[in-house]
Amino acid sequence: MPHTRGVCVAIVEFIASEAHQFVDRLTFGQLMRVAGLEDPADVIPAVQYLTGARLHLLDPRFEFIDEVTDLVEEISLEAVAQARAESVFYHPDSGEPVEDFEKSLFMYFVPSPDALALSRGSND
Amino acid sequence: MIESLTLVDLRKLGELRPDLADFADRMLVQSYDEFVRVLNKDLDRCIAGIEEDRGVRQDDGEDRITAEIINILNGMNYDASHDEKVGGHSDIVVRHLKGYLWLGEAKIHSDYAYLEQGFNQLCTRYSPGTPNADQGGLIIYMRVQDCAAVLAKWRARVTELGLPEYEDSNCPSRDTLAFFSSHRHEGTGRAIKVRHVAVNQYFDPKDRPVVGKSADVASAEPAKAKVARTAKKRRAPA
Repeated sequence: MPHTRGVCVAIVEFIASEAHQFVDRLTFGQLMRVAGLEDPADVIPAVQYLTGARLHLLDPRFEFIDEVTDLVEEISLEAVAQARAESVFYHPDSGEPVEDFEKSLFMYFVPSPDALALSRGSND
Repeated sequence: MIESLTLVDLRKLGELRPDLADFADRMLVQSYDEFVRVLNKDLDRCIAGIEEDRGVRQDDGEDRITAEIINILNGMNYDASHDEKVGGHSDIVVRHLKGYLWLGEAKIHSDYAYLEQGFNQLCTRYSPGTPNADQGGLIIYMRVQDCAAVLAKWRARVTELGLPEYEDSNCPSRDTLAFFSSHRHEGTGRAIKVRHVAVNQYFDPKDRPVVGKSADVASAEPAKAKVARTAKKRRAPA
């Protein structure tokens, strides 16, 4: 799809540039800005492609944000998958089940090892 | 402007945009079984599309229909290919970043011996039967009536093959139009699991005009008269 291709190209160019070194994570909002989009849904097809086997440039990550205590903690993909499968997620600090935990698990992305090599290669 | 998306946000997006449904599921695949589970769900989406407009595919061969399924999977950003050499030239090859492999064999149903040939191709020629590469699918395009009955007969025939450690089970997502089988892979001695899926391609609409009956001849008269008038106009001197 031409639209997805354009978004992918914009993201790849960003990763290959020096600009991405100033951010440690790529949120949907940042990817939207990089690609010149207004709807986060339009980023998702490109993200699916760039996290896939054919061109693996992004790795998904999750973080738990407790808006009451301001706790922000990265949660492994395995833990998120297990929480969804068992329908229970335990607070990293208190160990208590978190109500409606899916509202507190945020997805973001980091450049994959291949992407970092691309970046180093283009900036040498 | 939305900066971050939660799992709930992603699910809601999937409800509004079917092409984005289960995006989080695909991101969170952590095991081979999970990969196959999500892939089967996405395959069902592909198959639903194929079944909805089956009228336009009546003259298509196996490869043409299969290519369409592969294109849809690639649109979901799977690494899916046709005719890739895995043991032989598999109809559908789907690979995952973590090294998982799923193979599919597609057949247009003509007789059960033909389906058996496809099943044997999948299990004895293509599938390695090794960890992370021991699950696949037999996709059966059916242009005959009563797909459920045809699949039930096929299921009985597979049972009668006497495969070692054979088991079968229902597939709730497709009801009577799919089932799972498992038996000991000849090469590795491990279990190989196959999902047998009937894809409805039967198309015989009953709303076509029936030629020859008196009532219908009468209803055809206005149309015939119009054709005659048009022909007369064309013959008339300028």
